[in-house]
Amino acid sequence: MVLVLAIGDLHIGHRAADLPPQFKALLVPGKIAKALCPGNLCVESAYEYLRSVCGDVTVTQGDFDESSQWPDTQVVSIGDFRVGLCHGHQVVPWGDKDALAILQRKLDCDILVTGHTHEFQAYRHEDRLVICTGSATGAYSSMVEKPVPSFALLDIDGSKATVYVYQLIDGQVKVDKLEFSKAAAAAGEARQL
Amino acid sequence: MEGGYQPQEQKAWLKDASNAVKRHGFYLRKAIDDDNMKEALRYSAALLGELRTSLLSPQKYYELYMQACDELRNLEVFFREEAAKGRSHAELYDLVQHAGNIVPRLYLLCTAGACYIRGPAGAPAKLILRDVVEMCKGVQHPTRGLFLRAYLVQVMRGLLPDTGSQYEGEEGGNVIDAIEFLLVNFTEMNKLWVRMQHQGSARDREKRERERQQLADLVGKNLTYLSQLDGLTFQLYRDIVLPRVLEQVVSCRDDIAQQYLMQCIIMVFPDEFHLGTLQSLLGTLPQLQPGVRVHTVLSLLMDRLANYAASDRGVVQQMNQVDAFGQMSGVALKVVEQHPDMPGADVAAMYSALLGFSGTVYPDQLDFVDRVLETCHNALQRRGPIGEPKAEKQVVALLSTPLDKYDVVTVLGLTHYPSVMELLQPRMKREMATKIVQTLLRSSTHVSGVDKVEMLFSFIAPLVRDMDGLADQLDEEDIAEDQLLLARLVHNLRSASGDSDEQFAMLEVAQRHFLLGGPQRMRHTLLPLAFCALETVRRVAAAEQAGSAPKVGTARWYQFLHQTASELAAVPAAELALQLFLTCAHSASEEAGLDVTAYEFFEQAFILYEESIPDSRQEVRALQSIMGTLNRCYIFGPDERAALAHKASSYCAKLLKRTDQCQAVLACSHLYWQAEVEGKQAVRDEQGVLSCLKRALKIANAAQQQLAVAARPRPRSATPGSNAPPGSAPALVASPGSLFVEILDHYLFFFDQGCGQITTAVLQSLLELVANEMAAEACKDDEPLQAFYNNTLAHIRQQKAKGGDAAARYDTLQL
Repeated sequence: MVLVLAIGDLHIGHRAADLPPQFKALLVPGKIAKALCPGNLCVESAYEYLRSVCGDVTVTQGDFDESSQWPDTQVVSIGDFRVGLCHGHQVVPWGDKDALAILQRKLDCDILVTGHTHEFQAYRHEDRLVICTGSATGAYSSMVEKPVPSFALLDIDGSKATVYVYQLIDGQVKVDKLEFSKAAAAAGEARQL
Repeated sequence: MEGGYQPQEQKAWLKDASNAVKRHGFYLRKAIDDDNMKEALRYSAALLGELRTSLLSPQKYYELYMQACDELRNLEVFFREEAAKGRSHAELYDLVQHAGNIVPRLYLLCTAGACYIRGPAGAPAKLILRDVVEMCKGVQHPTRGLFLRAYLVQVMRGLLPDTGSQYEGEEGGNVIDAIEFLLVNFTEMNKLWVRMQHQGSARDREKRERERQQLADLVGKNLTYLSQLDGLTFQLYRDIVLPRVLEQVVSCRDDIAQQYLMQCIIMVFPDEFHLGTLQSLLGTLPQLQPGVRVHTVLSLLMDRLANYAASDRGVVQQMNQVDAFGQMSGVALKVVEQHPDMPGADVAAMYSALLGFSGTVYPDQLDFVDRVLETCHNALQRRGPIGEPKAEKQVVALLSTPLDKYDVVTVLGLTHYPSVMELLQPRMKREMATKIVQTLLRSSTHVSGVDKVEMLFSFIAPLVRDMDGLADQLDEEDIAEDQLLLARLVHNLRSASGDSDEQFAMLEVAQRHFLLGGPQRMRHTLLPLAFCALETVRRVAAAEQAGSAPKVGTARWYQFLHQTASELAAVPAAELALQLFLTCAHSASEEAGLDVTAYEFFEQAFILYEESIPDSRQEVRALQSIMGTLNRCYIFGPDERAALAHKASSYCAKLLKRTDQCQAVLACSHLYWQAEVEGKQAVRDEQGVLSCLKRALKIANAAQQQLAVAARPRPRSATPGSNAPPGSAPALVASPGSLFVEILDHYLFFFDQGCGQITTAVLQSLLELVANEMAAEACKDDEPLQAFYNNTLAHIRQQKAKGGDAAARYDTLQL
């Protein structure tokens, strides 16, 4: 069992002063095995912060990350899953499910973690899972009126993944849960082949 | 002869003396076993005789003393047993006085006296105590006298005629006698302790003072026992104990003693006593020696009283009655005036404690804070600029205290806060500025109003722009750190009323200051400013559309944004500025519906793209954002749109790598096909889409031919090399083969979207083309590529299986 943090579009400094304290209180060091950040940390200290929560951080390039040190896409294996990571501003039209599906086929990943829209979404699409992390700071976006601060924790156990969605609504942390299993996806594929 | 302080000698002397004590102690125990009182007294006197030495340092003397005390305990037991056998204590009390030397005699007298009081006959405590405490005056050698009295109070402390104790009575006396005994002993001990500094040569003075300091607790014990007396009422404390103790403290005129005793008084007696005697306690402070660190004494008192007030709010009223704050600040002032050479660090530390006190006790009285700052400023000013590190640290602490206790903005608004800060060197001003910003951020305090923002910037100027005498001390990293704080701070500049006009004025102030910062700073500070503006402009646009336009309209807001983005571009930070222009364009188009403004923002972004984007990776990224933004903008008329789309599409051809070109052209296809949004006119140019897709195919073909020319092995897949993160999986590398699959995916996308130009026949022939490519030698073994291809085929099968209209369109498609 592995706990994976999916958190993105922090825009610290640029669009927000800091992560909400309610989130900081949740993100205690030592519990999370891996952190995936689709991008827009914007400042080095935000990366340092993630590193302090969890030593293993994978980051991709956001449109407001000035340094070009991160790749555009990354794929990591966690449990039985291939997890793809991409900020999403490279995928036109932004946030479009079918366009993201192309990326997901290209990266050949069971779970795609993406961002950019500042709107949390987790959905199954053609037997695969897509997680848009939303903005962890609820940062401004020209696409969404009032972004809700959000991030996700994935509890990955072999071929099973449970997604816990954390959203800050009116100062309260709201948690949702979504289950995704690779067995079902694999069975689906087998049926079609 | 006075003892030297050579450690070797000391050790040897102590060893000799200690052996003698052991030897005599042995005979003493033997005499006790033989029930021989005469011998017992003889050997007791002999072992106590060792305490007559002048050779030992106080430290070593202490060790010897402890050893002697242990032996005396046997004698004490023996005395008690003797009494049980019928020998009267009165007789013993006389008997011990036959000892030849004064030091042993008095130790024995103390021991016998204690037994006499405790014993069955029960001598009147009052008389014995008075007798012994007077007799002990016979030893005036500092070390010997001090320890003798330490022994005295040690054996007598349980035998005092305290209220409620068994020794109280008509003859035994009462608590007054107990107090008297302790006070006399305290006074005598303190005198001896103070005199100790004159022992020995001047050379060892420092070491001696250190050792003397270690004996402080012997003197302090008297005060501790005083405070533990059950009968000690506040009246007795106020009328007898405190005046006598303070008188001794003041008259001894010794730095170490005064320092220790004042702190001891504050520590051992209860809070309510201090509150009731505040005046006399504080009145003593200015009378102390110049070398006494009065501020530590005062700080200790203030800390105690602050805690007292915090534990019981009723106390605050009492404090008000005696004007505790007024008294304390009065004393602080007096102390400062009397000691003109008191170091700045101490002055600041004292006022810091006073601020801490008023912050805890009077959390609402900000005028107190200002008064403290004022007097502190006056005191410090006379001492010139603060440059010494210790003083600097204290002044920073002084200025930090109210930040933590009161609302930051209000504190900064105090008249004398800036004047104290002005005393600091530029370097420390910067540190203070950092602290102010950090406190604001930590407490999430919003700064509202133009004047407040101006004021804030006057404090944080060392972060905002270059300062004289500071510029060469900061490296790039320092500045970047400062600017991140400022960037975060911008988000706390918020009009409390939510008034967008006020917000505008506030951001303008911030902008004016940030523009003075130079490129190194502006790189960090301008972007947050722009995003704050973008957040507000959304509200302004909504208000305008609702018919209640604020004074500062969207036009003015976008001017502000334009200026900010242009300044950012000039830093130069073209990449960020370009992204900002695009975000502004999107906002102007979709939120304010201003086509001309949106076009202008695009134009600026395009100019930056053409002139200032340095390398090809950044070009690719910038182009992605241009496509993504333009796809989302619905405001443009056909001509404007065509111009922008044409320009963007022309950029694709100018990218260096074929794979980049091809992917850019694919993205470009979305400029001709927008998602349907309610109330907006979506562009649906099938011809435009198709021509992009065809162009992409052409480029892919060219890429493939190019590959043949290069004739070198194409990397099959990204090898998880040394720099790949752990757990990273094999990933697809952009190759001509992958371009074909990607193009197929885009055809499918628009086919699903119902783009009429893409017929089943077109798709069928493309499918065959791609199938051929995938079967080719170059692609056959490329696993990531084959996965991409298979995923795409699986997608088609899923679409077929879906049923309904969508599936019907896929029906004739053959895989």
